Amino acid sequence: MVRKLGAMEPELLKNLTKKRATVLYPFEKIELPEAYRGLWSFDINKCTGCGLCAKDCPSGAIELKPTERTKAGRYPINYVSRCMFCSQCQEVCPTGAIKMTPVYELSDYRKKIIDAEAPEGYRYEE
Amino acid sequence: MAELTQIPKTEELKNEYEIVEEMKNLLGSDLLEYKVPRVNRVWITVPNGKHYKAAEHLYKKMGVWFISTVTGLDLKDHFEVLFHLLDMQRKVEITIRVPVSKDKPELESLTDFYPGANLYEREVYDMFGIVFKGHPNLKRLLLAETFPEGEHPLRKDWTPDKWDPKKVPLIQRKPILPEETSDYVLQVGPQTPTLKEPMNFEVIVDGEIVVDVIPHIEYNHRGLEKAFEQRTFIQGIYMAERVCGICSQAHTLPYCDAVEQLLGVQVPPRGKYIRTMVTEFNRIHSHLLWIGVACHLIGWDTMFMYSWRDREVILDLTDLVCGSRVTAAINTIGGVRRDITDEQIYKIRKGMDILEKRTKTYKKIVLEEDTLLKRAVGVGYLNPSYLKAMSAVGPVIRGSGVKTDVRYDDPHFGAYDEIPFNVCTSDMCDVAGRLVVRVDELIESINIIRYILDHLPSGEVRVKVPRKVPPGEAVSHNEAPRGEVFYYIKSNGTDKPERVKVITPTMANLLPIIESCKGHYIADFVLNFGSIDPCIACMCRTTFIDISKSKPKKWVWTDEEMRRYGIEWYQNRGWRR
Repeated sequence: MVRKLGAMEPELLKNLTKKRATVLYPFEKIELPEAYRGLWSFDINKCTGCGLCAKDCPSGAIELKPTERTKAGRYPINYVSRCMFCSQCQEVCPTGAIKMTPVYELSDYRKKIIDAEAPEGYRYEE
Repeated sequence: MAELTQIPKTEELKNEYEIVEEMKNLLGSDLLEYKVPRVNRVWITVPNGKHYKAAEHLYKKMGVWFISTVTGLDLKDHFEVLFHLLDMQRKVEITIRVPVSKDKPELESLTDFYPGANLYEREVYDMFGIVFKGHPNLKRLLLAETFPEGEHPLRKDWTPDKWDPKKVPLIQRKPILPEETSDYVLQVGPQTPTLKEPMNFEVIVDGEIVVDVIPHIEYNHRGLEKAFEQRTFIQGIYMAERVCGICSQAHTLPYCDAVEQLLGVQVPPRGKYIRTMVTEFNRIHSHLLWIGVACHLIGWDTMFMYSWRDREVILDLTDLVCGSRVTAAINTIGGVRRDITDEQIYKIRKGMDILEKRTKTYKKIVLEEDTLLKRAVGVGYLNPSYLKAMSAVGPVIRGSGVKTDVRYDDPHFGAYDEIPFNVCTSDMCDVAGRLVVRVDELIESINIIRYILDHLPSGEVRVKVPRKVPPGEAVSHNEAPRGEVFYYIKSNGTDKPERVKVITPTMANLLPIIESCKGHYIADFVLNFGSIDPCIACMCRTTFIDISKSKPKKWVWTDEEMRRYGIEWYQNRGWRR
């Protein structure tokens, strides 16, 4: 019995020869644009300690800590687990000390804090 | 007659002043105050009791049939209730302000003319304790039914300390059934595998036919309107974005627009165009998502996979322009946060070419493929006049042939007053009609994006704004993928808003969709509810009521008992497993 093809069958046949749409994730990685809002990065040498980032942060992920290296005597740290990656801090920063990087692999066994004074640039929440 | 920030009558404001004149003639000295702060906006203040007369005149004589929402306000010494009506003919958003005293918070309900105000008035009653006289079903809506009497959380003097959540009794609903019937109640939700949001429906069924549906939407009240009051205007943008994950851009646009109205700033043209473009990205990805979900709900997962694969194209473009796939966060007060480059424009154009080709395939499938049409045609019929009475919004009302679209009716929130586009409608009035409207809107959105890229103005994308917002109030709305999103913002001169009111399209469409389910099979619910997201999936428990005896007997089965009963029933009839 021959039936006229519906609207979907040609579509199905076309897709037989197509490449798969998914990516084998841990082995292949997709390229993210430069401006992707991922992990927080902070340059303490540019920071003036104005505290605008902490004031505007919608989720309260930024806390100010005392230091001698900035003009106002304080610098921000970022609780990665609370951050919602809106990049308002990057936007409000007058000197460009804060940047969001296209790093998206943030899973960890413990809660991470981005802290410029910590030896490796981050430390874990106790 | 006090006149506040008032634009004098000009040729451009002819429609606005026509409404003011009509109200002056009708109410005389009862019109306490009016103002026309900008084009498309009229605010009138009438004493309690006269708003009914004003609304009657607007509805019967002037053809204003759409109510956006009802807002409650606590102004320390008295309450105010604002009825926001949208005049589609004259393209004017009319706000009727009614002061209500705190000693006797009562006023007449407008549900006589605007049955669609039903849920909105219930919400105001719930949050402020303002009683609407003549309302058909004045009960709590967003808070649990068992929430203590007299506790209304959006009142300024209410604090959470007064309220102990442990003392609130659990919800124990009595099944509501008419007497002398063989019906039973099917409990759907609040937790079912395919119901996206925690909603509960009490579905009264007679055999396989649905007789009535009672929605309960109080399970996930997040208190966002209260939370807005504790955040600054800038933090509020990201709050607004998280009201709905899918319509993220659609919420920030009216929020920022309303704050800009309060500040009196104009967004530069390039900023406006980029905003509008991202709003259309948002619409494309939401509609492709919905087409996939609709096909998934009828069990056609091939199509679901295809449409979600193509949705990746638009998500990658959003990622490229805004820096994230779903939460665009591109709007800010005074413009947009990021400019677009020529390289991005090239990539967007290429993406639009792919999407156009794919959308044309979808249109063919929607119009011709039996797999879909046999489930969609004739299901969930909604009469256009009924939808107009209920003030339904979005593809639901356009799927019944009513040509309403906020982008067309009040285009000043974005760049829609400069961009040509069609308002897509369908006269099929059923689920298939809503599908066709959504697919047509995809093509329309692609054309809008192409027009924006061709006509993108040069210059700045944002203006600097102060942190403190001068006192005042503003309304703004946007056509989200699902319908009208409405924002009312009142500021008091600080950097925090005094009141933010949000209304989302699902609230407006809930009652009409429920109406359309009546008389259909339970199986058709799935697709029918799908057009507003929730759906019926499984039965968590069944309540039986035997009302043939003089003393009605009630019992409840778990699903295990139900399964055993089913197996025995078939075995008794000679069926083998």
